[in-house]
Amino acid sequence: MQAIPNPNAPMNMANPYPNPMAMPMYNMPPEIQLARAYVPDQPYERLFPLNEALKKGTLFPNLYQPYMQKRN
Amino acid sequence: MWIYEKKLEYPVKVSSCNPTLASLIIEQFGGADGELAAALRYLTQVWTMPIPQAKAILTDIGTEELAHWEMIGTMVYQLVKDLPESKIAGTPFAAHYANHGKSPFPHNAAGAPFTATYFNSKGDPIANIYENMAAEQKARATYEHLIRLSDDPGVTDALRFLREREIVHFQRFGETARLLQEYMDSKRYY
Repeated sequence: MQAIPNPNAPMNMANPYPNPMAMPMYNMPPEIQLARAYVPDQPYERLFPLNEALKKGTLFPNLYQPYMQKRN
Repeated sequence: MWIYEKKLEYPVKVSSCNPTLASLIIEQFGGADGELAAALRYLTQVWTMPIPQAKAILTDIGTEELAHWEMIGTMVYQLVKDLPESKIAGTPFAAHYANHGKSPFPHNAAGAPFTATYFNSKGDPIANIYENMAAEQKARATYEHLIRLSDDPGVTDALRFLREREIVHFQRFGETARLLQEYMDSKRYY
């Protein structure tokens, strides 16, 4: 088999594109200090198929946060 | 050293001749939170970063911002290239045309020319990385304004791509901030 990661690895087909905001909390630094800003490390979970990744602007479902335009 | 690829990072398919929209999206070609300011900000900050991971992320993202600048310039030009010269007067693009013709030029949507005062390099890694995180959020906000203003589906599609890249870059700078903080702490207390 190929040595490269398979971008079509098995995923939850009932919800192939989960809302990243609803995913579990990611690893924060063990010692958090005042007067600093922290961004959790991104877990390497799974990847979009490459053609979809280009369309979406990211390879990573857990970073995909599309703009939802208000209608008025 | 750079390697140039003779294609856009993301294909741009402008659907209309639209001088009004050209005069708006030029904000991201030469505005305060535009792609040129982003590219120069990150590429200028590389030298004083104390760890190789930070130098690498700034070079990578700074380079990608140049590719975004190329996309915006392409859209600006495509939106006006077929505009008959008799139809320019009276459009919001006319003031730009008076100086630059149909060439894109780095100024903002209000016509203020690009300036290096839009960004900084402090020689301080923490101050720099927080500026960069803020810059990504300001660019994201600008893209959302432009998406709301756009009535061209092809332009909107490219703007959505560029907006998502701001989110990815914010994450990368956030991860870099933590590496820098850990490095600065280790320098201070060992």
